[in-house]
Amino acid sequence: MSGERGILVWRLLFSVVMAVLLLGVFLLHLSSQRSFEVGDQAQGLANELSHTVFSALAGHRASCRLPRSVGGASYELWIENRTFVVRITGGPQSGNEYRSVACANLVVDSVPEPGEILYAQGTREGVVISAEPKEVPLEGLTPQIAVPPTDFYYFAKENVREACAIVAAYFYAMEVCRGENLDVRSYKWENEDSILISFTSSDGCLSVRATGYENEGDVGLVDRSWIVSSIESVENGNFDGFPCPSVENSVLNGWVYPPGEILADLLSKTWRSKDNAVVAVPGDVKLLPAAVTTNVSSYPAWRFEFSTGENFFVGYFGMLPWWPYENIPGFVFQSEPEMEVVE
Amino acid sequence: MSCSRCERGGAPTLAVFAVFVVVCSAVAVAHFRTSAYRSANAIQQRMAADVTRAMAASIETELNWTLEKAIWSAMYTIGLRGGTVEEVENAVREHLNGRIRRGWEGEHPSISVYVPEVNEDTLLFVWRPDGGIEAIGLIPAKIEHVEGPAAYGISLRTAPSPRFERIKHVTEQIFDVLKTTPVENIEVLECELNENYACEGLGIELTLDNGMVMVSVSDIFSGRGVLVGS
Repeated sequence: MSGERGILVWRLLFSVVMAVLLLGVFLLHLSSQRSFEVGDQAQGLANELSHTVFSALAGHRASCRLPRSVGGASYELWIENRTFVVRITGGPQSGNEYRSVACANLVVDSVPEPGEILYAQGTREGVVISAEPKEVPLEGLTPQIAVPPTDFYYFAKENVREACAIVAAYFYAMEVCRGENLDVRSYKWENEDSILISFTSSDGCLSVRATGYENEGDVGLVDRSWIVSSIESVENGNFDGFPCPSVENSVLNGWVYPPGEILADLLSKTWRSKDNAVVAVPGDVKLLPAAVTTNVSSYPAWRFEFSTGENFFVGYFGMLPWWPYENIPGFVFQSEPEMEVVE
Repeated sequence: MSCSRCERGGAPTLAVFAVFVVVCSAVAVAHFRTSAYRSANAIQQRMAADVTRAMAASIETELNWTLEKAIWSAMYTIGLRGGTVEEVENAVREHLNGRIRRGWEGEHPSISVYVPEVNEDTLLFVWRPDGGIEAIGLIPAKIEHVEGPAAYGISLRTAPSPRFERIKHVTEQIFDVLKTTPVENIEVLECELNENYACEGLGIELTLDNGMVMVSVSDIFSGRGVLVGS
């Protein structure tokens, strides 16, 4: 009797153990299936974010709604070194990371939480990533070239000194009224070296005085120049002057080179002097607007000066791109001593 | 001292204990293996992402370089026979597609690379106000590592210096001047043109060859010569 009871207990225990084992095997199988699903969805999410960045590259705004969980597991998203990282934070896969690579520089404004929307906006600096839709200025991403040239281009060809002073005043006013849309309204000569320029802005009106001086020194093939030496704001500067075409339109459409662009060009090129030595251009070159006169004509330009080693360089860059279909020679660059572009 | 009842109950207890030990061991092994796998997986993922990023950057750099060379080459060859800007654009696309067709198979065994050929929609040419060109491309490429990390898209942007349109226009102008210039005045004309266009960074060469005048206009300011027209 007791022998039968012992066998019964043994069988019962064996059955329980077998049931536990089978349950264990079943759970392991489920767990591995779930792990695969979690990994698959996490990797898919990371890759989708990378694809979203590519969609935003063309200057569009792209978005991707993040799921609340991946394969039923909670997760967190972060961005490091152009890489999206999805880290599982819940379940047996906790701690696993899944990555994908973005094809652009990522400017991370904020990273959305699971369940929120990730917004990607292409800019010149890269793709801005944020949890909220951002208003990013798109101008300059894809250059919109106005052909034929703007009215200001023709104005500058005919009124070289005025154009120099107006462009100088425009960039000065842009600094003073940071972030405001402003454009030149009119200008008036005060005397032969001083010119008043008035601007319209969303805040009202701003007037600027640009003063220049005559420079007779030869710089390469430049015979003489009129250099804008000072720019200052003027109070009560309301006056009736000559109207001027839009400078803003020219700048936005690439028909006026901003000083920053000229400086970047100067620094990005490799230069050599006449004696074949490399000219190291320092980063703090100052640019001044100047009307240059050559054996052909007068042109608006940016004047630069810098010292490197024992040499002192002075030169001019054209302020406007010279339209390819012009019938007279234009002005791009002259310097003293002569500098040549290597590459 | 042992009894027969105790001996009979010992076997099942031992069996259950043995199974329990096996189950506990299996769970422990699974736990250790998972932990080790997780660490290894994190390292593998990181490495795979790095390799994928490096491969994508390498392809992007190579294609940007190829694009720049293609523009220089197209401007030179198309310019030599006085071709149009459309011909330059088509030649650049064809040159770039030639490189893409060769592919990147076998460069890295763990990475698959898919780069579609460029067309008018994926490679745009913006002619700058000074007659130069800026090429902007967005290629829907996919570079995927076997471990999972992928990189989508290749962006191209280059703006080589030569002012093709300007050089072409100046050359055509010189042709018009040559029609009314006696052959013996060619050298004087060349000096005069060089003096006038020096500030614009253009160099002009007029060569007399069997009664024909060859006109070469080069963009000196771009650093490397480009010739247009003959």
